[in-house]
Amino acid sequence: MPDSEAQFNERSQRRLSHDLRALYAAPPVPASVDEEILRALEPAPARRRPWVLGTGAAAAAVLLITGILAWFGPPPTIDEQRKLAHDVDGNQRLDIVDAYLVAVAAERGDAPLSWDVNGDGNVDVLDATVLAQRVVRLPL
Amino acid sequence: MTRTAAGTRKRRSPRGLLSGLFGFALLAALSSVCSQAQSPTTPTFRTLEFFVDLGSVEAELAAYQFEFVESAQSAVVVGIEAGRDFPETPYYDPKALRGSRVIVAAYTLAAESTRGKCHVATLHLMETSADPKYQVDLIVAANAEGTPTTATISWTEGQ
Repeated sequence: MPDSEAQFNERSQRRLSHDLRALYAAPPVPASVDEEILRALEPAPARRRPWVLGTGAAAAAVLLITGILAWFGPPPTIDEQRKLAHDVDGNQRLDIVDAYLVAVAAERGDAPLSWDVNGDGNVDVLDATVLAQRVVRLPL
Repeated sequence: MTRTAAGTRKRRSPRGLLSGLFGFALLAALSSVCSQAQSPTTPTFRTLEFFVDLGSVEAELAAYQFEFVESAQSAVVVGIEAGRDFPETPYYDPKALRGSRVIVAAYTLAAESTRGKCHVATLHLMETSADPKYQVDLIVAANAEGTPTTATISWTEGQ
């Protein structure tokens, strides 16, 4: 008898549920806890001004973009690399001081081989001359 | 056609007309040549002496580099030579000659002789207009240690 079996099952489930609820009855929640929860859900009285938040976000965005550009920026071109290859004093600019330093080191005889501007295998006054001619060259 | 003293008209011959036109053209050409000879575009030559001043008579000048520009297209550089107080002949791009921009630079390994205000270079210019605009920028001046130092550049008209 499927109908009576179904009724039996439904009654059993209801009874089981009732018994379990009676067995593990939840303790009553104190009113103070409810009040605390409700107070926490209320919006804060002194919120941050929107423009402060906007400025901070803009500054963060600028910093982020600057960092990305600096990190992934275009590498120096071959011309730039060649131009700065003999930047002896390391000021990121080729000028007559670089030629002077090459000449001084060549005269002392302690110039590093990386200062061989004309590629003849040694560093001498000719390298300083070539460098000096390069720094006064006008663009085409 | 012209009118005679008697009031009668006389037809002018083609040869007379041609000689009149030739005379007019000759006069126009002569006046053009004379006006060009007297125009203000006659080139004049000027000498500029450049001085680098380190501000102290004790400071040594071992290297200098400056850029000279004539921005009104009224003068061109026709010559560059060393100054009285800097022994080395300056470097410059030969393309700068007959141009209005030049970068001049030199260094010396005898910097003890170049102190204070030094006449470092002389530029010879050909001016084609009466209103040239000269601009000079000191790119770098360095002492004997190769350290860039604070300095000023100035120029005066030379002899």
